[in-house]
Amino acid sequence: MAKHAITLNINGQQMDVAVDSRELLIHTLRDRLRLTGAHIGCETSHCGACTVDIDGASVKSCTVLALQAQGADIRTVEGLAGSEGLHPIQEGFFEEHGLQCGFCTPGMLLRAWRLLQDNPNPTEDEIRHGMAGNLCRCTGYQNIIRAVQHASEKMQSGETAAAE
Amino acid sequence: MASDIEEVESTESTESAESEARELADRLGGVGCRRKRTEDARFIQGKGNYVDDIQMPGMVYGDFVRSPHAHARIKSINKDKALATPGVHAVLTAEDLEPLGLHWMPTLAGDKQMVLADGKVCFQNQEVAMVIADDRYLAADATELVEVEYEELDPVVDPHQSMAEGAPVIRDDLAGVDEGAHGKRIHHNHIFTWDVGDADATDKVFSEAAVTVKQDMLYPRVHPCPLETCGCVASFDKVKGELTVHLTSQAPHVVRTVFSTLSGIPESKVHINAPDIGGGFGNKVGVYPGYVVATVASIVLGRPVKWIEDRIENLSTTAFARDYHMTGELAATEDGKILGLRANVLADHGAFDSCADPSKWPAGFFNICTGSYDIKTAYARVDGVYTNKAPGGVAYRCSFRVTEACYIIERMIDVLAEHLGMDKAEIRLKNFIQPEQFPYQSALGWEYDSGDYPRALKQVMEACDYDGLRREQKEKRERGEIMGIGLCTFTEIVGAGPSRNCDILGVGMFDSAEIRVHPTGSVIARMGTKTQGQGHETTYGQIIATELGLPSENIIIEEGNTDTAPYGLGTYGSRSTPVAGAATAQAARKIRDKARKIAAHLMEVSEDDLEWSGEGFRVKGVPDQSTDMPTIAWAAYNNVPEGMEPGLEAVDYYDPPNMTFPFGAYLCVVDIDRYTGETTIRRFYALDDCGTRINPMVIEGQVHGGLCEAFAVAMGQELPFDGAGNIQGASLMDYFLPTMVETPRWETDHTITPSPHHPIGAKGVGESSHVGGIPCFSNAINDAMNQFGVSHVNMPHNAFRVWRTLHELELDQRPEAANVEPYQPTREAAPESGSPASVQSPDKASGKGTEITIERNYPLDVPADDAWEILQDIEKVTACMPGASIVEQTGDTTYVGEMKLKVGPVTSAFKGDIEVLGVDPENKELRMTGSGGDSKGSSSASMSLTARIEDKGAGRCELVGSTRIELKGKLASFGGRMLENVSDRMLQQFVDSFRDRVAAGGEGEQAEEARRRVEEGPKSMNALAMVWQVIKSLFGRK
Repeated sequence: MAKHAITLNINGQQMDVAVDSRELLIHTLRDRLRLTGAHIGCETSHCGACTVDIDGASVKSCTVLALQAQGADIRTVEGLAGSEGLHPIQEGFFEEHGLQCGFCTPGMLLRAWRLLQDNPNPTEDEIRHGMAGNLCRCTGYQNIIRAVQHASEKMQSGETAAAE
Repeated sequence: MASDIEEVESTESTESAESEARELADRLGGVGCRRKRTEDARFIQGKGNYVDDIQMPGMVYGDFVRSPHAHARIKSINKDKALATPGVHAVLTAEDLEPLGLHWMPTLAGDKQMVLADGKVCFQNQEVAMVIADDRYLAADATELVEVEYEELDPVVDPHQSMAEGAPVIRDDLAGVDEGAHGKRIHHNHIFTWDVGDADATDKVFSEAAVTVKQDMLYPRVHPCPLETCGCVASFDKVKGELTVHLTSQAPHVVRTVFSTLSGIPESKVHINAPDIGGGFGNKVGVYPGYVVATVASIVLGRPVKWIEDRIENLSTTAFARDYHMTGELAATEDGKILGLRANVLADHGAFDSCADPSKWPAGFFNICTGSYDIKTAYARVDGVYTNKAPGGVAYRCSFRVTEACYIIERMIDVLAEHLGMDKAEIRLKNFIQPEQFPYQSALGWEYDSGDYPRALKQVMEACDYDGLRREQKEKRERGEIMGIGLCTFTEIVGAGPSRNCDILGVGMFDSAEIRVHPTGSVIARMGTKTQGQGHETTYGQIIATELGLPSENIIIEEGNTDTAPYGLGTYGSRSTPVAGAATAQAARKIRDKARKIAAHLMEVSEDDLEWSGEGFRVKGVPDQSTDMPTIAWAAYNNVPEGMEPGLEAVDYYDPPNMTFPFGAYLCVVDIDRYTGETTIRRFYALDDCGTRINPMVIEGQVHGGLCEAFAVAMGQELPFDGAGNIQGASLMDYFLPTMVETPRWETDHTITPSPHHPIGAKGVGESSHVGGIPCFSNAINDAMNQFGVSHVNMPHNAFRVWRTLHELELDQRPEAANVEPYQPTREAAPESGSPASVQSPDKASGKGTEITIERNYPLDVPADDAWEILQDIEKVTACMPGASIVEQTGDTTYVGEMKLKVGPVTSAFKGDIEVLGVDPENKELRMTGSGGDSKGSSSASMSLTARIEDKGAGRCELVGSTRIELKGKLASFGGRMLENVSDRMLQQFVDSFRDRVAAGGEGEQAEEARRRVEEGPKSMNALAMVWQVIKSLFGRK
């Protein structure tokens, strides 16, 4: 099967990769680029374990062809932490016990990241609705919500500190 | 007076000792502190290592050809086309496994199970053949090319029909076998009858009791559905003759023993590695055909083979739970003192008995069904039967069948209270086993270790203002609002278990820990259990930190690799803390004993003069004279007493003297919308007593998670089947996993009643809230319904089912409703998209597949005569469907049609017979039937269709279609919502093409445009492979 050469900008890094026309983005990320943070939990776009951020939106990468992502800016869990350490969202999940088996976590983190870009100070209800596309079987969600609230506070106080 | 002073002093000294201990625990990260989890660092950075993350050079992929039928004989399997496909390396069938003796495998329950279908299939989606190919797409393609010819047999779907005279024989292999693993078999579909208790004494109590109640209840078939499905990477090294399998296992050591036994490879040359596991909940205890076939493929090919389930495979083939059809009975005095319990269960085990229970317990620990109550006389009986459903019977986030036991007693006590007109808290307080009765011998054979049930319930009642809630419920009832209050005061039985009565395949259910203290005082420890999210790497470290006085941040915990970890029975049934946690404490204590000797040697005092300080040893009465554990550790490697061997490590295999019995008191408040059945969980309060609390943060997390899964089971989960044995809704389209939106907010609380026989008093907590949560939710819904005279409704309590009950009670009638004409959808009024398709699962006894009825009307901007002309032309109508064509006309009114599709990873051809039953030019009506299947027989369907053109005048008309479709096989298993959705889209596309085709016959720009579109043909749809499976076949049957 003829391959197609595409370029993806993943976590600020340009990556050239040859993919099959029918290849799903999640397989390209996991199997070809070895970015195994995002996972596959279903094939019906329900679980959100494969969530990554593409051009400013949370996207379930099991429902997108790799070809469709040609030229896109993609962020995955591997790109969340910066040179100064963990991202406040990662810290939030750690501090508030927002994960157990860890399988849904990369998708949760990326969705939370986008949610807080769009709405830096969400209410509990907004978090519940904003993250309803990501399923978790372990935590009962309560600590995930706390984790997002933790991150929200941290990011805002960070901004305030930076402004001062 | 003096004694008073003493008491004050002793309280003070206790308090100060406690605060000192707390301070020490915080400093060391020991038992009792809210230590943050060590495993999180890798998970939050995407560096977990799950089975599907593993890639190896030369690795190939396996995918299954599965049975579309619940019960059928296999007439032939043709793998030529698949094998001829580039990139395909092998296609394995039972015939290939037979010479190795691996076409069947033993189950944990003493039965055997087909690895690949051996002459027949006994449940839908059963494994028939495995294709091994270069990548997962090629493997999926090639499964479509394996042609299997089936001869359908009548299925047994309803377990109540299973042992009927003349019921179909499911297990031909058991012909003449009248002795099963658990006693006599009395029918070809009978597996076992297991009973416990004194039947005669119980009958006597019931015949003499003033009050008796009886209730049937169904605990439906559900599935643990962890977010990560099952899978493995098997790699056989031909040179060394060694087998390495990375797999999703909660019990890797037992898997090693099973693999060695099955394959004949010495156990020392079998390496099982369970890396990070994405949730288990019982799903990952068993050995599945996928593991075995991938392993054989690796041995045959000499290459690593990866097999990963998809979600449908997971839900439909590996490890269902529950499916207990129960009848509970209680005998009591008029004032509500329970005298006796009788429980009868019909257990649907599917086609093979692969329940994951300790060998001697075919119904697990169901005999814990006397619960938290002092019931002197009881009898329980479970009859296990075969049906044409997937095997399983795992403990979904619970100890073996404890959830079922807890449900029956907690529902029955409510049924009794309701019958007597007693309060549901009062009846519990009246019947509780009292604190002074422990250790308590239950009527059905258990010795409860410790508990204080009244305290727990009273604490919850006070925290939630139980009396106030009851008052509110009454007031609301008067206002016509529906509120329910659910209680559950459960006792669990976990920590299997004493090897005298618990084993898996003959291996006693002990567990183990091996601890090594390094010269610098850091520690590595390994256990025979396997975490799947429970946080073992954190909590075992805390036990060691407290026992050895070394900081937990320098303690590494490893599990899952059978090469390095000591042999253990794995993690399920909340056994890690009770068994391996005990082993950890015991191994640490062995180290501490040696450390004491070294300390005495270093300090030149007698061992007896030393006492443990929490971080080392000090001389009794001389606190300044002390030595800490790092110093002792260093000395262990260079300065030990004479005659002592150097080093500081220990192994402990812990065989528990008894189970542990965690308990709790839960309260749930629900508000039900009487018009829609929508239920709001207003409050859920969970008090758990798991004995000593190792890490409160982790405990709360476990409780939250268990409650959420309880919510899922009680309010929505089930795996239903239609009459033909098609599994309905085996994808996340239908199987209910709650999102953040539905999930209630949890309130947690606790009491502490340590286990007297556990080294640190801990009992296990991972499953309590699932076991106790389910009856609590169900009791709340039933409590609401009790107000209207209903004694019991079965789970799942989803909005539709709750509404249906309310509707039957006529509670959903608004006063004004009587004045309103019932809504009758009319064709004229219907919007273009039509009314939703209705999907029905006929009753199980009918033998019918899933039926879909679709009625639609589509306005067309073309004259009626033009539309009618096209509609009569079957070839043109067919051409409106993407990829479809008429292959040949076989008679005046009969045709053979074909549907070819190559989209996404799937290529497939459907063929079917079409018969035009009537063409009525006067009414412009066409009637036809069709039936057919795909080339590999994975799905079949029959359909009847009526299509009519209605003239609307002014050059407009309407296409009115009504169709009834019966589905069998793979398609039917996609379930209602999926089929409804897809058929809507498909119809829309068909109508668009039809409209173009009619318009193309006209003149002008629009006609020109339509002609162009007709020439292009219908666009292929871009959708997921699975959606395509549905679409292609909906088209294909026409």
